[in-house]
Order: sequence, then C-alpha cells, then structure tokens
Amino acid sequence: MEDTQQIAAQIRELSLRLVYKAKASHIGSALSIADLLAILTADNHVCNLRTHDDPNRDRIILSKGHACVALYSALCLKGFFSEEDLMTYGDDFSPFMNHASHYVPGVEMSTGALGHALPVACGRAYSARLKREDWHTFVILSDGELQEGSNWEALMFAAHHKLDNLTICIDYNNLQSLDTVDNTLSLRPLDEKLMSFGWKTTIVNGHDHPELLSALQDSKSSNLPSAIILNTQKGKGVSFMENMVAWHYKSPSDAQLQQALKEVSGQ
Amino acid sequence: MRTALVEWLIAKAQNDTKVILLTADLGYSVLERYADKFSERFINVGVAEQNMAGIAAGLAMEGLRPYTYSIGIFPSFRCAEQIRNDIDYHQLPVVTCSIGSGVAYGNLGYSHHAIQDLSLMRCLPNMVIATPADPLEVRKILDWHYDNPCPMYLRLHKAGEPKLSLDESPRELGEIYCLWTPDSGISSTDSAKICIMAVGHTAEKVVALSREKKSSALVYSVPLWGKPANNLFSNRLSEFDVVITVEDHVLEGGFGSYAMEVAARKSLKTRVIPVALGDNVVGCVAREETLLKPLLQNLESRLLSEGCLN
Repeated sequence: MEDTQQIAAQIRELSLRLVYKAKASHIGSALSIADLLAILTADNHVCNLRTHDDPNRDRIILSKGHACVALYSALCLKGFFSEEDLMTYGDDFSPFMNHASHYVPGVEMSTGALGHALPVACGRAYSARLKREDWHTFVILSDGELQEGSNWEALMFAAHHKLDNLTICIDYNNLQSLDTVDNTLSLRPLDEKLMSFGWKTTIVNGHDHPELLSALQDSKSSNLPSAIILNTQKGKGVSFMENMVAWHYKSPSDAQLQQALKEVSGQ
Repeated sequence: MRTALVEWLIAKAQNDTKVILLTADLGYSVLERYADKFSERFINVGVAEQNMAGIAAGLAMEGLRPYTYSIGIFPSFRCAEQIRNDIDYHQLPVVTCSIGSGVAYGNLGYSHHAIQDLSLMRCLPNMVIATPADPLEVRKILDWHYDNPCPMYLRLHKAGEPKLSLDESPRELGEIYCLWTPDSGISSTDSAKICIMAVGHTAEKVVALSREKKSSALVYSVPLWGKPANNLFSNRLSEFDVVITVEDHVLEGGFGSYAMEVAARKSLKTRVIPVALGDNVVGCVAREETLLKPLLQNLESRLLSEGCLN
C-alpha cells in the first residue's frame, strides 16, 4: 500500500487548489473526508478501483456531492484522468461540476441533492447479489443529510434484505449548513439508531488511517450491511478552517491558500 | 390495462433476466402472478416511493430493466426529485407505472386523483410519456420501450378496458393511431382537417360519444409523447387545421398544453382546442363517471361549434 498519509495530503492540496481556482464553496466538507478517500483509493484490496469501468470494480458513491473536489482529486491521483482535465473544475460546461458529476470517469452518479445516493446504492447492491457478482458498494454520507427521510427508507431496506455488500461511511463532523448537527436536529444516539435498524455499526476516528482501514476491511466481511461512523473535523488539516461553518461557503484568498497548502503538506 | 402490463412483464421476464418489478406495497390481486414466478426479481419496497425510485435507478445503472408500480400520483409526485435527478438526468430506462389515471379513483378523494401527473413528468427532458388507450396499446408501448430504453412514465387506467385499437402495428414515438373514423357520408378530405386526439382512458369515452353523436371528426390515440417526441409529434399535428385534445388531467401542463406548445414552437397553423378537467372538477370527490361528465359536455359543445355534429 502506498503511503496513505501522503495521498490524503495530496487530496487536500488538490482540493484546496480547485476550490481556490473556481472560487467555489464546501472546502471544509472535502477536507473532512480526505483521509477516508485516501484509504479507499490507495489499495485495490480495500476497494477495487483498478479501472473506472471494470464491471467488477467496487462502487464508491459520494452522497454528499458538495464535497466533490475531494473525490475528483482522489480519482485523479488514481490516474482516471489528467490533472489538466481536473483543473477545468468549475469552468463553464466542464464535466468537473461543483457537485459530483457522473460525466467524470469514476464518479458513479451525480449528486448534489441530499438523501439520494443510499437508495441508489441499495439498488446497485441488490443488483450485484442478483447477478451473483462479487463487488462492494461504499456510500459516503454526511451527518446532516441523515435528516432526509429517504435515507431511513433505504436503511430499513438494506437491513431487511441483508445487503452485506453495502457499506455506508458517515462523515460525522457535527457541522451542517447553519450550525452544529446537535443544535439543528440531533442524530444522537446515531450508533444505537443504526444498530437498531439492523446495521453492523462501528465508530472510528475518521482521520486515523489504521482505524479507518480496519473498519473498511471488516465491513467487507460482515454478513450485515455495515455503517462506519467517522468522527471527523470539518476542514481537517487547515487550522483556520477546522470546525468553522464559514468554510462551508468561503473560498480561500491568495494568502489563505498559501497558508493552507503549507499546513496540509506538513511544512 | 394493469392486467396487460403484468402479462407482458411475465412473458418478458421469462426470457430476460434483466426484467425486475418493484412495487411500493400496491397491486393486491394484480402482481401476485408475477411475484410467484419471479420472486427474486420482485421487490415490494414497502410504503416508500422515494426509496423505490432510487433503487430502480441503481438497478438500471447496473444494466437491469426496472419497472416501478404504484397508483395515482404516489410514484410521481412523492418521489419527483428522485425521478428528476436519479432516473431522468442519468437517462436510465426505468418505467414508472401508475395505475388509476385521472379520476379513476374518484371516490377515494383528491389524494388519489392523478390529474397533475402529466405536467410534472413531461417537463423532464428525457422522459417519454406513455398514455395507452387500451390494453393492446399497453403491450405495444412496452414493446417499444424495451427496444428503445429510456426513462418512461406509463399512465394506466385500471382493468377491463375495451379494445379500441383498429390495428396491431407497432406504436412509435410521437405518432398518432386512429381509433375511430366517421361513418360514410363524410368525405375523408373534410374530416381529415379536424380531429380529436385523446390520451389514455378518455379515448374510450371520446369514441363512445363520437359514435353516439355521429361526429365527423376522426379520433386518434397518442400513445407515446413527451419532450423527446416534440419534433415527431409536430409533424402529425401539422396535418390538421384543428385538433381537439382530450384528457383526464388539468389543462396546465397536460396533453393539450403540450400540443399547444409544440404548435407554437413550430409556428404551425394548426389550432389546438384543449378539453381538460376544469375547476368544476378539480378537488371534487365523486365517481369517475360523474367527474368526467363536464369534460364530455365540453367536448360535445366544441364539436358542435366546429361543425362536427349535425
């Protein structure tokens, strides 16, 4: 396995440059899942992404489509497209839209409206079982989006049908659009809720690579659908962005970009 | 019509393992025959239309051919965003089937009146709208869709509808199919200039009225239309001076407004006279026969003023 810390740093760096270049939003949400994406994309044994169109590839579906720069960056590092293509992000008519776009190689579906990907992932996991195919579906959900009822319809469905080829990774950074999740519409106790819905549930530090790796590997051998709750920090890796609602919206200035790039590269 | 759907699905599922039927807990005494035969390819998702539409999208992304089943506006309005973003935007061949078109469930209340579904579904750029006039057209529409995979909304009445189709030719996108021609005495040239285009269940009522009143206007079914059919349909529309559209749906966004939009966009000389459910019906709860009476009275007076009735 390549050095996942280095991959995570590269995902963060590319994400920052993309958001800066396009004067886009949601950098905090992207930094929050950089470690998860690094673990998912670094090793084909964890998540088989040898090619983006292999019918037996594992599927990564980004439900929180606003964090797309992290996914685009991870897929670019995987070699699915060039950095030059990636840097068209945010340009008029570019396939690299400001929410996850299925016109980008490796992006399994377009998202942006919350609460859509988990039902679709259930359909894909059901299909794999029906066709006796051996691949896994990973869905990356935000915490705030669990307030959408459609997710709970899908959570019931996956458990009822014992879709053990499905794993959800919940980015529990406890910040949503205006305030903390706790202050807005609390999910607590999220682990107990998921367990009572019939999901194998694990809580990890979402920035601890060995913990993430172990939880993802375990989820593939579970006989139930798996939920991994990632305790994370929105804006992780850039001191002045961490745990700040404002970085759901702002894009960095020149000076802020330089500072942020220094921090994520460990300088 | 729902029987034709299920029979078609059973026949198709026998030969094609990609066919899969989903229901949001509806279809008692209708779907069992399919479910018993193809238990693995039958999913009752429970009372959860958003999930059903999303699951169907996911199945279609993996190459399956999903058909979702429910009634009224449940499979359209409740999960409109899933149909828009997940199915239509990704151009997936999911067939959204709704039973109880128009005011078929008249007495069950406004919650069960599917009278705005066409306007919701036909504004989606890739969505083909399917409005069969009889069970034969249900089968022909499904045959067409099987060979031309795309997002499709299939609007069905209930069961026991009579055969109206005059021929068993394949049904094509944007085409019209004659259901009734006037008796002798009317020259075909005259009658060709004015016609009625009726969608879905109203076709049965329109043909009965035309026969009874000895109307001189031809009656057509338009089984496959919607935005992807704009250009094809305009060719048919342009063949007439006057087209009276009839539908068990409100005017706003329905088939009549579709015909008017197509005519305006193409600068056709065709005059469209829309006959649709009016304010005197919307929100009213009664038997279907009762709720359709004002529609048919409106049609009759239109035919009279256009000189189609003696």
